[in-house]
This record gives sequence, C-alpha cells and structure tokens, in this order.
Amino acid sequence: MRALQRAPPPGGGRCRVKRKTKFLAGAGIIVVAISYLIYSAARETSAYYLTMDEFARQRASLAGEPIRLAGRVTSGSVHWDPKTLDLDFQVQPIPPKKGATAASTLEASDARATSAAPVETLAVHYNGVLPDMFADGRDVIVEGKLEQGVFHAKSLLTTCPSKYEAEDRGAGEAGTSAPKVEG
Amino acid sequence: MTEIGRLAIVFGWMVALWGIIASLAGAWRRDRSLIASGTHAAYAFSALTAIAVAALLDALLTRDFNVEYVAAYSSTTLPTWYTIAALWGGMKGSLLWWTFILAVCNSIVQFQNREKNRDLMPYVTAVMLSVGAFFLALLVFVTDPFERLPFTPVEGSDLNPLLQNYWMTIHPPSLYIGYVTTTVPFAFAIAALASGKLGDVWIRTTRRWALFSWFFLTLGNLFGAAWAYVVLGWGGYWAWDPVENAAFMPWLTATAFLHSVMIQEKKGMLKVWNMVLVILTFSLTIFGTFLTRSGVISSVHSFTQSGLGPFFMGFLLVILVASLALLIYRLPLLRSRNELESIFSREAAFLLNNLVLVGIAFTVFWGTVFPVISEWVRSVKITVGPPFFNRVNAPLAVALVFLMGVGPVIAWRRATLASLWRTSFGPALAAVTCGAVVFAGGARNYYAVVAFSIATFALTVMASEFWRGTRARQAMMHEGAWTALSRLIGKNRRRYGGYVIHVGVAMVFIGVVASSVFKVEAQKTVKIGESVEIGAYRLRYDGIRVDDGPHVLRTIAQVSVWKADGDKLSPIASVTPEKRFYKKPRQPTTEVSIWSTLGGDLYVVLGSFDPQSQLATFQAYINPLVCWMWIGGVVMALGTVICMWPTLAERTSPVEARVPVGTRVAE
Repeated sequence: MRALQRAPPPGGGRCRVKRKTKFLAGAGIIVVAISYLIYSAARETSAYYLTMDEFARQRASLAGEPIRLAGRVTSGSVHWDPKTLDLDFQVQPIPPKKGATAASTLEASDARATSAAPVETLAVHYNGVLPDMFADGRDVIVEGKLEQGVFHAKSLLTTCPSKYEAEDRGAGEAGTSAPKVEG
Repeated sequence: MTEIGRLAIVFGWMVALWGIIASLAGAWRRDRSLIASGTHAAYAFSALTAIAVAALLDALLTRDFNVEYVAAYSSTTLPTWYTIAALWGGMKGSLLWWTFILAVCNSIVQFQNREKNRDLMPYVTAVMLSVGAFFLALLVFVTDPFERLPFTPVEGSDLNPLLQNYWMTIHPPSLYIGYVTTTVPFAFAIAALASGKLGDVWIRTTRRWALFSWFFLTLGNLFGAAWAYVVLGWGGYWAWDPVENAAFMPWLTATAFLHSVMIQEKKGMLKVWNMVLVILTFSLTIFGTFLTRSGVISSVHSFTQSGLGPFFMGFLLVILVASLALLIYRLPLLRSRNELESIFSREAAFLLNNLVLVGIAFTVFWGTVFPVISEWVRSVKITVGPPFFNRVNAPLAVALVFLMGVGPVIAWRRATLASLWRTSFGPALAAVTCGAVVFAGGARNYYAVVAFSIATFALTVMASEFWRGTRARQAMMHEGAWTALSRLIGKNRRRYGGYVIHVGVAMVFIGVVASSVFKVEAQKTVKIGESVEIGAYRLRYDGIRVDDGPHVLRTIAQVSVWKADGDKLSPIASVTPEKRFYKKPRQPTTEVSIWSTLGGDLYVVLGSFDPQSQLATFQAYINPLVCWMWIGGVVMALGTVICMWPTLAERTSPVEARVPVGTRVAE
C-alpha cells in the first residue's frame, strides 16, 4: 500500500505540464464564472440593513435605496383596512434590551446615545395580509424603499427577542415568527 | 430524576475527558489496556447521555414545571407526541439530544470496529469523544438543561405552535442524525492523518456512514422544506434563510465528497481534496449549529442570543486549525497514484461536478455571512435576500444536472467526440424535443425551457442506462425483464442506486423550477358567497366554522374549489384554510390548506378574518409540479437505501469484504 502511494505519478515531461495548465485554466474559468455570478447578483439584489437609529442619522442620503429596516411599531399608530389590505403604521427605534449580549451591545449603545432626543419615527406603508404576529409594540423588519418621506415596504416581517425555536423561516411576504415567551 | 440527569452529564463529561486521554496515551505508548479503557469510556459516555436524555424526557412527560426547560417548552394540554418532540424543541434539549446521537454513533462505531482498524480506533475514539465533551461542557458549565426555577409555575408556556406539526417532529431528528454522523467520516479522516495510515481503509470503513449521513441530511432538508411549506403559509418551501442554508451547506459538500471519493477508490487521486471535503463538511455542521444558536446573524431572523456563540466559534477554529495542520503535515503521504489524462473524461466530469457543488456551497456561505463581512469591511450591514441565492445558484444547478447526465455517457480516462456523440445522441434529441414542446406550450421563460431540457437529458440518460443494462442481462442470462432489472440493480447496487438518486434529483429539480417560475398568486378580500379567481380556478368562500378546544381555538374557512371548463364551472374539491389561536402562548398561527395533484398544488391561506363583517382575505397560490419535489425526495431516499444495502459478500463476512462488486465505481 505504502509503496503504491509513494510511487511517482506516471506520465511526465512537457505533456504533463501542458495538461496541468489546461486543468488549472478550466478550474480557473469556473472560479471566475462563480465569482462573477456572486458579484453581479450581490450588486443587484443587496440591501442596506439598518436599525431605526442608524436610519434616522442618514435619512437624507437613503431615499430610493433598497433598505431593510428594523424598528418597533409605535403604539396606536396602526391603521389597517381589511378591504383594500392597506396597512399604515409608524416605526420607532428599538430600545436596548436588558442583559443584551455581545451581538447587540453595539445597537444598544447607539440607542442610548439618542435616548435623550425625541423619539424619531417613520411612516411605513404596506399592502398585503397582516402577519400573524403583527401588533402594536412588536419589532418588525420592513424591506423596501423610502419615497417622499414614506417607507414603502415590499415585505414585512415580525420578529421578537426570542429563543432558539424562533427560527423565523418565513422570509416571504407574510412572515411569521415565534411568540414572545420570555422578556 | 433531574438530579440524576445533572449528575449524568457531569460524569459523562469527565468520562469523555478520560476517554480522550486514555485513547491518545494508549496510541502513543501502544498500550492496549489504555486503548481498551478509552473504548469503555465511549460506551460509558453513551450510557450516561442516555440517562440524561431519559431524565429530561421524564421531566417533560411528568410535566415538572419546576424545571425551567419543561416550563418553557411544554404545557398541560400539549399532546404527548409533541411533548416528546419538545426534547429537541429548545436549545438546551437540542444540545443534549445532539450529544446523545453522537454518543450512540460512537458506540456503534466502537462495536463495528472491535476487531478491525486497531491503528485508527484510538484516534477515532478521541475525536468523537472530544466533540461529545465539547457539547456536554456547554450543558454542564454554560446552559444547564436541568436548571430549576425558584418557584413552580402551574402551567408551562407551551411549545412554539409553529413546531406543533408532524414534519417538525421528524425534521430536527433527521437533520441532527445527518449532522452528527458526519463526525464519523471526520473522525476516521483525522485518525488516518494522525496515524499516517492513509490508505483507502478509512474511506472504505466510513463509506456507509457517509452515505447514511447524506441520507439523513437529504431527508432533513426535505422535511424542513415540507414543514416550511405547510406551516409558514407564504406559498413557498425555501426562503434561503440562514437556518436553511446552515443545513444545506454540509449537504452540498457531503454530496461532493460522495462523488470524489469514488475517484480516490478507483484511481487513487484527489486524496487531499477528499480530506478537505470531509473536514469542511464536519466544520459546516458545527458552523450551522453555531449560526442557529449564536445570534451573530440574528439581524434578520430571530435566533436565540444565548451567549454560546463564542464557544462554538472557538471550537470551530480549533477544528479547522488542528485538522488543516495535520493535513499539511501529512501532505507528502497524500500523493496521487494517477493523474487526470484528459479534460474530456469521466474523471474530469466528476471533478467539475465537485467544483460546482463546492461553488454552490461557497455562494450560499457567502450570502449567509455577507451582512457580517460587509459590516467588518465597510462598517455598514448589507444583506442579500433570496433573489441573490436564486440568481447565483440557478445556472449552477443547471450545470450540475447537465453533468449528472453527462457522467454516465462519457468514457473514463479519455473520451472521444465520436463515442460521446453515439451515447448521448438519443438523450440530446429528447432534450431538444422537450425544450421545443415546452416552448410551443407557451413558456417564454428561457431559463425554464433550458432547465427542463437539461433535466430531460439527464433523465433519458438514466433511463437508457437501466434499459441497456437490463437488455444485456436478458440476452446473456435469458432472464425475464423484471428479474433482469432487479438483478442488475442488486449486483451493482452502488452504481444503479446512484442512478436512482440521480433520477430523484432530476425530479426535485423539475419541481423546484416549475414551482418557482410558473407560480401564480392571487389575493382578495371577499364576503361569504363571493369567489377568488386564480388561474382556471374559482375559490368560493362558503362560510366560517369555529372550533374551540382547550389547547387551540380554530377558525376554519369553508372554501369550495371550482374549475372553469369552457363556460361552465364544475366543483372539484374543497379546502379549509384556518386561523388558529394557541391558548397557552397566546399566539395566532395560520394553517394553510393544500389541494395537491401531480400537476400542481392549489395552496390556500386564510390571510385574515373579521368576525363582525365575516369578511375574509384569502391568499391563493398555484404551485405547478411541486409534489414532484417530494416524490423526487422519496426516490432519492430509495436510491440511497439501495446504495447502502450490504452486498451478499459483506453480509456473510463483514471483515473480508474488501473490494467486491459493491465498491466498484460506475463503469
């Protein structure tokens, strides 16, 4: 067995080198093709992911850009017309969590910095069925564009500070998510 | 009982540590008694984790709400079956469950190899127990599943209603089994590297484990898709969510490994590549666990922020650094016995297939971690959504299915255009015909036309392989057609089992393409008696029924489905989409109703319902050919079982079965 493995590979000379170059070129083409696919798709489908605080700071420069925005539904701001499926509400920054872990401390400190200022809100418009978990005070992620001061959401996801099984798979229009079992 | 469980995990952890030390020291000093002690530790580890699982299960079934886990994931009204499923419904329980499966695999491996592979086994034991010790350490020191509350709640907060579904009871165990069993090939690969016994023994020993793991990864992914499809109610089955991606990536690299390993067995090539794939597959399963539990990519989807992230990250780093260092150290022993002779050969097709599979895995990985990377690099979080994954992977998937068709018709070593033309002329003709028919049928989506043609090509190639093989046997052995076919498969399980899997893959591919390209959607708010139109169907809203139970309140819409046939409408089915309200967690959910045929699904969702006006909003989808995904999945599973089934030689003398018919590569 050993001897076999150590045996020098058959074939040799220039022919082998040429073949190797060919294979490397072939593999190279594939790598380049995949890289190009990634690059072009990423350029056309990516969106900024922002929290409401970050959004508020650079509001002016973001008009018309594809944005994914995380915020909290302002209490009492929800208007829902079941006949036309028009939904209008306001979002505001999500206050820092108690006992926030490493992943969210950054957002938390951002929120603290702005807590002295009046709460910034943003009007959101969405057309479609209400997700099961949508309600006043819930944390949502809206995806869409800011046009004339109103955020036109193509999709609306409800999330909550939740546990492991809140694997929110419904990234579609009517995203669903888990209950708020613990604070 | 929980005290016993707690003791069991503490002892289990210590036993694992002993097992690692004993095995490594035994291998180092060639001390048989130390190695035997390591083996015993592996068995003891299994027994102890089994006790811990039993203890947690007992707490769940006796509804001991003083235990934090029980209070958080069950309730008095939760059905028994889901109470058992709650064992893996929460993070702590799932980690324990994971460790338990690993321990069981470890024991099976120890037993299978009690008289074999004595050089490798101490290292295998050490690797498997290290992984086990890591998971138990999390449970012992960081997040205790047997933690008690300072008070005893009268009622639990119940299992997440989204998990109270039959798919969800089988999806996580399948996926976990798939994840965990990747540890076995990994452990053997590391053992081969550590011991320097880098022959094909480790590959032959773990071949069936790799298949077994792949089988469960496949099922786990499909069950997950089925769950998303019937539960989440957005009309689809795959959203490129990080959790899904986490399960998909190891499947891709495992698939690549199963293919490239044939080249190593047959030609002695790609040895380093195979090592890399095994290490990658295992690392991706750990990465998946990390992803779902760390909160790093929590930005879009809410996973837990359990603080376990750094531990997983550290563990992952250790795995990668240690195994790559070993690999580099052993590079001189991993020389190829052969070289690729032509870029135009089956070997090259295998290699290409590997590149594409790893390429898909890489794009999925890239898209999943993109927000994190962009935040590091440009300090702004940028996400890519499902369109990114679809756009990148669609051409790659087409290429993959094409290669699947080319594989069997291209010659080993060096193919000629003439021979390739002879073998692929029929299938190519079928492909062009299919494309023309689809185009004539009105499809103007060129991606779909090409995809269907390529799938037809692959399917025709498979069919002709079966046909030719059967005919040859009929002619030579004078057998009847069915006998010939079943013996053909039986005598070349690996080859024809593989072909059956490929047929399944082509079916899944067709189902995915058709249901994503030709999907029809409609959404409307209607009064009782009014209809929603979708495609050739009319959905008439006939009324609402309310069913109030102790566990859940159901609001069920009665909808009759009518099909327009010329001018007249005829009733064909009725569907009952629901809104549910789970009383313990006070959570509403949506229950879709699906009318499924081989041609496509009619998927109806009760979007919202207003009790006062009785107005109901329906969302309806037509998902063409979607059920071929599930049928294809069953076919894939069947093919894998054919591949795994022991050959006669192996059944009679398991040790002596070296390179019999079963291990021959498709020729």
